[in-house]
Amino acid sequence: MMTNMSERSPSQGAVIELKDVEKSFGATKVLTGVNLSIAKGETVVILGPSGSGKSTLLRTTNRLEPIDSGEIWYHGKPIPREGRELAAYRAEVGMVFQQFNLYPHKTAVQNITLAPVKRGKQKPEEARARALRLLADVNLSEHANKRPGALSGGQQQRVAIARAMAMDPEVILFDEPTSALDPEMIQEVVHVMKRLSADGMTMAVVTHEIGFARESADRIVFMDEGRIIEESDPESFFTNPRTERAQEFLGKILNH
Amino acid sequence: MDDLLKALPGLLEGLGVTLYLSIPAFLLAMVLGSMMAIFRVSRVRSLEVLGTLYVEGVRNSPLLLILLLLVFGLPDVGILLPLELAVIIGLGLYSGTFVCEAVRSGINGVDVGMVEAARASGLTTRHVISEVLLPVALRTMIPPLATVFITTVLSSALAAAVGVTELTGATRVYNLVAAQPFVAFGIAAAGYLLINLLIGWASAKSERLLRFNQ
Ligand SMILES: Nc1ncnc2c1ncn2[C@@H]1O[C@H](COP(=O)(O)OP(=O)(O)OP(=O)(O)O)[C@@H](O)[C@H]1O
Ligand SMILES: [Mg+2]
Repeated sequence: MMTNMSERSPSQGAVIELKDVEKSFGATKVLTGVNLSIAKGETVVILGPSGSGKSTLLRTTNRLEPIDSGEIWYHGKPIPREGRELAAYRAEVGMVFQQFNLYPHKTAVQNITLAPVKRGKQKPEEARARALRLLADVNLSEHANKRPGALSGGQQQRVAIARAMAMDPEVILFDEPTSALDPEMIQEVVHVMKRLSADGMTMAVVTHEIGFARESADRIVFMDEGRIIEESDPESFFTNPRTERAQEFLGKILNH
Repeated sequence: MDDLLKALPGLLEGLGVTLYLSIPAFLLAMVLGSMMAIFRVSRVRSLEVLGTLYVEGVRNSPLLLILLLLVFGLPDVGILLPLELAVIIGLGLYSGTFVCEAVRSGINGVDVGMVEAARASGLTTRHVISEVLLPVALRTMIPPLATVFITTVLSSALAAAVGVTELTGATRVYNLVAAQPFVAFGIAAAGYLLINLLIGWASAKSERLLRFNQ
């Protein structure tokens, strides 16, 4: 019993920690015994073939999907299951989606200020000034008052990153942030992410951008069929992947 | 022509009654229909059932039957409503089912990813609904709701069948005297057309004002 307890206690310094997480959709097992710990300031890149459970892993982390068993800790405490506590937790965990998911009826600035203002974190004027600074950081000052429909994909995704930053998140989860972008816009988004990572933001990033992974990742997590089957530093992962599945996967994406 | 001039005040009054019936009926339909739509997407079983029963029950009866029931049936069980009020309620109940479906498909049509982004940002359910879900859904609902409004106006003609002298009823009265059915009913049709053009114009205008990509 005692050993079990200590085995299950969160590790020191982890912002997010997943322990034995299991998740099924109906009869499909999507996550099997997933253990993952993300330390403050760390950039973890999650790789894996389509359907391996990468999105589900990120989505369970902020409880957009509930889990069947296991535990998820945030700063050493189990994450809330519902209600105001869950909303408060999510406010500290940013998320950036493949499809940007900006609010189409709001301008770039309004997209960014909505959550800080509604959560009572900042006053409207304060939030607006902050949003303008964040937009300047991602080179979008002149687009501040445009709606998403008038912005390119790359611009929308940079607004989405600024929106996540506006909450001063403890960690940001990125789910294939560049996969829906035209090639010429990928770099402008990758550039912003590289800078965030260098500035010490804690990030979990699902991406196929090997350049980003090589340069910014502190750690690579490789998933296959709902399991994490390999975990290492980027250098060893890309030059010397241990599992056959990872070798196969790298063979495919590097030849593209 | 003389006849027509004499009849004009009566016809205009009929037009007024048509508006007097259909505007409150549409407002009732909006309130009732939106409520039922929220019930139907609430994922609360009992509310969903209530919403479904309402829509399927009312929409599958002829409007005339509903009006007859309210006008002649209710007094039978001791409920006496003013004639116009009974018609407004019947029309509102009936149009409410179409409002319900328009609102429901508007809500269901909202991109799930956007709602997830709102939840993921830490907004409470109340703010997700009021700041993101409803404003976005409303924009897609304007054209179908305008159609429901137009249908409500046209359906109000059935009030003539239970004895309310609205536009169609007034036209029939005029025709009894003048015996010029094409002129008479042509005028009525023009009246309806005018109202519906106004609704269509307002709908297009508000849609433009609320458009996303500006
Ligand atoms: N809401 C859902 N309902 C049912 N099955 C789902 C749902 N979401 C994901 N799945 C299934 O779970 C598995 C893992 O999906 P997930 O989206 O996590 O994979 P992924 O690694 O992100 O893939 P991709 O690279 O294609 O985005 C897949 O088999 C998928 O079909
Ligand atoms: Mg995915």
